[in-house]
Amino acid sequence: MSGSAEKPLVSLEVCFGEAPPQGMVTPLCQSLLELCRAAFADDDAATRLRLTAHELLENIVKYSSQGACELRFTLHRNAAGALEASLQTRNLPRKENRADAEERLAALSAARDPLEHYDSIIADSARQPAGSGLGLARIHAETEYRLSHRFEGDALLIIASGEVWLKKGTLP
Amino acid sequence: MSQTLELEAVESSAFGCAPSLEDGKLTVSFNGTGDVAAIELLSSYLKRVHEEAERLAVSEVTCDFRKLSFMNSSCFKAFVVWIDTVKNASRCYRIRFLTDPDMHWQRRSLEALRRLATNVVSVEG
Repeated sequence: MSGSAEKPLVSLEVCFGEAPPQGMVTPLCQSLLELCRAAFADDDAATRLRLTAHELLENIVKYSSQGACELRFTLHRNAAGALEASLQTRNLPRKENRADAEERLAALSAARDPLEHYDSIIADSARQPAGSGLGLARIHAETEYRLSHRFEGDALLIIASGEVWLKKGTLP
Repeated sequence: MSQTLELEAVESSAFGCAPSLEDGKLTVSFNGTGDVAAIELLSSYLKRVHEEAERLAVSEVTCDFRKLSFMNSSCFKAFVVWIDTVKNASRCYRIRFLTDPDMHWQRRSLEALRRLATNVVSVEG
């Protein structure tokens, strides 16, 4: 896990034998939202995490070839001791989407100004039929979560992480 | 003579759009969750909103988001396409978004739409 210095304080994993049906995305993300709302000191942090989970999961549904996929949510202390929430997805993207996904993720990482990059993607997307990369750019610009990715063989791992604060008494 | 609205409310299992016309002002209220199940409905509905706005020659369309709990990027894109259409139309009208200040995502997401066309889009709430 990117930035993780210790084992997770909380870990929640949802594994699918193949890409989940679209209809599962909203209920899953709603459950995650409720879980985070109960723990996070800031309600907005919970909604930002929900948005991140939603966009990542919908990408899995849209762009996965056959094979197992997973969503992993963790709360852990990062190397600096701050509490961090992470969402990680792992899936096998379709061959025809792999280069495009890699290019878009690299462009996001390289963008000096996430908002400026997001605005240019939004403007371009108006005339693109699909696959504009709007979801990933939205995570990057609107949630303040850091995005990173790597390939493990044919599997694509996308990790979104950001600092969070918990309500008192949430963790033992 | 007052004009009548030729646009009806639509609703799917978890998402809905309800139009109203008062004093020559067209308002569309959105509710529920704008996820993948809503995309087709929303995209075609916004085309009809545009046609209706042109037919009625309104100067402004209000989009009331106060009962919309979430919108994914594909639904967001449907608004991008609509705004782009309005921005390039021969007769432009303004699009005003009403937000719930407690739903922070609305302000963040809609600010991006405002930046797309500052002379067309405004965000309130």
